[in-house]
Amino acid sequence: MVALTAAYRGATTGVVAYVGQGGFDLWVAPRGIDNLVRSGGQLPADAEEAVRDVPGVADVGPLLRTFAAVETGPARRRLTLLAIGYRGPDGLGGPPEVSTGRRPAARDEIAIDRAAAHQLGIGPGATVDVAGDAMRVVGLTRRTNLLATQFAFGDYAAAEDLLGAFGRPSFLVVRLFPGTDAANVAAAISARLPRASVFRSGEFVRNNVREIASGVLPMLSLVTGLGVAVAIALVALLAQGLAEDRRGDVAVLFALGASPRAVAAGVLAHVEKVVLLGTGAGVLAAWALSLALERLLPTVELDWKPADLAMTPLVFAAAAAVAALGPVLRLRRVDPVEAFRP
Amino acid sequence: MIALELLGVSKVRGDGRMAVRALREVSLRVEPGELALLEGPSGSGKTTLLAVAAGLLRPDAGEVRIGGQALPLDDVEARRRLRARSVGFVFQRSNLLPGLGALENVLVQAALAGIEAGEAERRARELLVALGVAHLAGRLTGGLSAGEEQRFAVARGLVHAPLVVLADEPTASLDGTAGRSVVELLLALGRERGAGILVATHDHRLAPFATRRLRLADGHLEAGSGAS
Repeated sequence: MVALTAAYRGATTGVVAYVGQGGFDLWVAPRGIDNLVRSGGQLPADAEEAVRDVPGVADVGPLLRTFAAVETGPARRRLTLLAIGYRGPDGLGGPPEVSTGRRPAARDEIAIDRAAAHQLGIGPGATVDVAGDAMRVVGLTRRTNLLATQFAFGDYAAAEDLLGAFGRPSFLVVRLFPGTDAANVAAAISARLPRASVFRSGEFVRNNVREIASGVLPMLSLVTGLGVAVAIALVALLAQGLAEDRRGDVAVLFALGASPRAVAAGVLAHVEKVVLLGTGAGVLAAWALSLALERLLPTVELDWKPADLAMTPLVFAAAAAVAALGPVLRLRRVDPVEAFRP
Repeated sequence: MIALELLGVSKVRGDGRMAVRALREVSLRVEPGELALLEGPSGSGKTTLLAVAAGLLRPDAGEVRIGGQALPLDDVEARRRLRARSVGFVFQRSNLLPGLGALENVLVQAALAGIEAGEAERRARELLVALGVAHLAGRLTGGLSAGEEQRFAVARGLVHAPLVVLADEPTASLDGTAGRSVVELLLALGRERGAGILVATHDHRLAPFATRRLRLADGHLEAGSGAS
């Protein structure tokens, strides 16, 4: 259950980590476009200057977004990635996290998601073919895996060449001065760019989650939900079995003079102890699994939260208590004379 | 004070056509420090007699007294409390609780009898020394031999200084030497503590230890078998 929850969250956070990263206060998109995942079109050529002149704007980063086929090796392994051209290495719009290597700093350099690199069988230093141009992979990024595709980051000018969209960005990301009223700035940008849409960061993140949710997440939710339900059912069956298994011991305790209430509490405590020990072992196993996946299969990213570790034992303990209740109540009626049976 | 006394006890087990008169007007007494053997073939009512004597089964007629106090037949909770304080058990198998340590199994009975934890442990360890298993006190029950387990069961049956110890075939799962040793210790430690001991058994080798032999057949105590 812990691993499934972490995998589910890994997929969803992969979706929002890029668009929701710090410093992206506003997103400016072509009119009618409200997300990055499924989008098209370009902003006007003067859009960047127009936004930069709005009071309160600290920085503007133009982005070019396209899908690009990346090929490598003699076998021409091929993967289509969501390519982001930005003014590297430190301009707005770069990868949220680089796990190995560095950000691209030249026209022929790119950084790609580590799951994509795993699928292509390459690492930093490898040369790949992007739409006929040879490019060197200089970094691997994290939290940039959308499951169905992954991000690649490259130089803005190289992306302009690729798209043939000179001077017309796909999006603008805007950073505001601290304390600036984002709503006022958004309104001012809208007034200057009537053919563009302006979004606050949180709204843009939600739009992207919606787009992903309409595709991959329902299936992932179903698998996770089923997995959790099966886990709870197994725990419940285990709890029932444990309680039923104590019939002989219960007869002995009744013979020795234990009260039904004390015996019921004792059996319930025994069931909970076994379930919680099992859950602890399961959490450790899930943690070991995440380490193994990290090394062997980075396509699956487990995103742990302390709340998962607390919630899982609580859910299992509750399931065990509910499942054991029936058997425990039946145990109260055990005939103590059974203690004499060999 | 008489440790255990049954006065005209009758008990029918089962219902309808399956009903069996398991005990028929049985009267007996066990004095403090005495070891009474209850013999008889399988199905003669030995286990029923022990269960009635312990207050686990309510007799249909007659009276059971432990330490001179009549078992309250209509009050299950009062019978439970009296049993926890005044009756010790040694079953055919040790019936130690798995998952608990050997010493903890002994302490369970002391706790049920309401003995303070420190005093309970002192008494338990004293018994384990006498029984020769003190060095095994920290073990889980699964790591003990049948003979060792039965010694812990004897300690459990005596730790709360009961007025009466009821033992059901206590040597059945042990070889001759181990069985003899367990009964010797049960008798010696029971005597020391003034408990009356009633042992239901098929094992004729226990006869030399008995102060009295009672023979049960078809729910009757046979005449001349030492019954009071």
